[in-house]
Amino acid sequence: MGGVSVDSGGKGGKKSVDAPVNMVPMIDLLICCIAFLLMTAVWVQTGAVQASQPRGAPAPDSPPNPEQQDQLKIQISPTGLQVGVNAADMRQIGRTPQRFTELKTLLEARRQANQQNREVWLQPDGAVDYSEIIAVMDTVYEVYGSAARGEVTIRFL
Amino acid sequence: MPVAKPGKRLLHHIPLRFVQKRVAGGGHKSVTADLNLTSMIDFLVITVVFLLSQFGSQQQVQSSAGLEIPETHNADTLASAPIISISDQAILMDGQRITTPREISGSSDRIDRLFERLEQTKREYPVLHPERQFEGDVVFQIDRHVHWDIVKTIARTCAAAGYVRLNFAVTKGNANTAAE
Repeated sequence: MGGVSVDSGGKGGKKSVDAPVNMVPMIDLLICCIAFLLMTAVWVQTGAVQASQPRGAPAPDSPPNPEQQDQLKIQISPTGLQVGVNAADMRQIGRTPQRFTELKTLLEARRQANQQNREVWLQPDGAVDYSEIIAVMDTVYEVYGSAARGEVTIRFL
Repeated sequence: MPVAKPGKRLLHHIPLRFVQKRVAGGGHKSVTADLNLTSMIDFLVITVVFLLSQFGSQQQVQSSAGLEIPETHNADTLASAPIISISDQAILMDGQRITTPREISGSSDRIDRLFERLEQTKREYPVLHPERQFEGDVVFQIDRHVHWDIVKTIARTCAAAGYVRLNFAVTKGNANTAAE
C-alpha cells in the first residue's frame, strides 16, 4: 500500500511522523469525480455568430441612415431573400432548398466586385423564423469570414 | 502454534518434486501484476482537471433544456456575457424569468424589467471584470422556431441598455438543417 513519507529526520524512539495515506478511498473519490463529470458533460460544440446594432434604442420605423445607403443589404422575408445595395439593384432569391447556395454565389460575386466592403446589413421580416436568419448569417460568415476577427460586420436594420 | 508464513501450502507435504513443481506454479509466469499507484493517480487527477476545465460558458448555454439551438458551419468562440434565453414559453436572463413572448408580442416597446436587469449587470461589470473594458456583449440563446419580431424587441432593449454586440449561440455542425 502506498504511503506519504513526511520524514523529519528524527531518531531514537520518538513517535513516527510518517502519515500513511489510504489509497483506496482516494482512488474511489477520483473515479467518482470522473464518472460524475463525464455524465454531466455536454459534448456539443457551442459557438456564436456575432452581429452589431447601433447604440441606444432607435425608433421602430426610423428611416435608414446615410451610411446604410451604400452597404450590401439582405432582406429576409417568408417568401425568400433579396440581396442588393439599393432598391434598383435588388436580386430576388425564392424560398427554395437551394436558396443558401444561390445566396453564397451572389455574395461571392459581390465580394469580388467590391473587395473593400466588409459590412452586410440584414433586414429580416418579423414573421421570419430565427433559424432562417442564422442560416443567412452562416452564409455571410462563409463568404466574408468571421465577425469576431473583424473580417465582416453584420448589422441589423 | 507458531505463526506460519503465508504462501502456497497445498500438497507441500508430498515429497515428490514433480508434484511440488506443479503446485508451486510449475515455473510459469505469475498471473498477478503489480499496479503502479503513482502513475494511476496522476492519470486520474489529470482526467478530473481536464473535465473540470470543460465546464465553462458553453456548459451554461447548453444547460437550458427544451431549446432547439440552430446549427451552423461557421462560428466564433462564445463570449462570456449575460445570457438571454428566448423560447416559446419564456424569456430568461441568466436563468431568471423576465417575461413571456406572448406578453411582448406585437409591441416594439422596450421591456422595462429586462432593461433594468441589463443596466444592473452593466453597473456591476467593472467590479466583476476590472481588467476588461465593457464592450456590450450579450449572448442570445434562442429557439430556432421563435419569430424575429420577438428577438427584435429584445435586441432593441439590449441596445438601449448599451449592449450592442449580439452573440447568437449556435451549435457547430451540419448547417444544412439550420433553416429547414
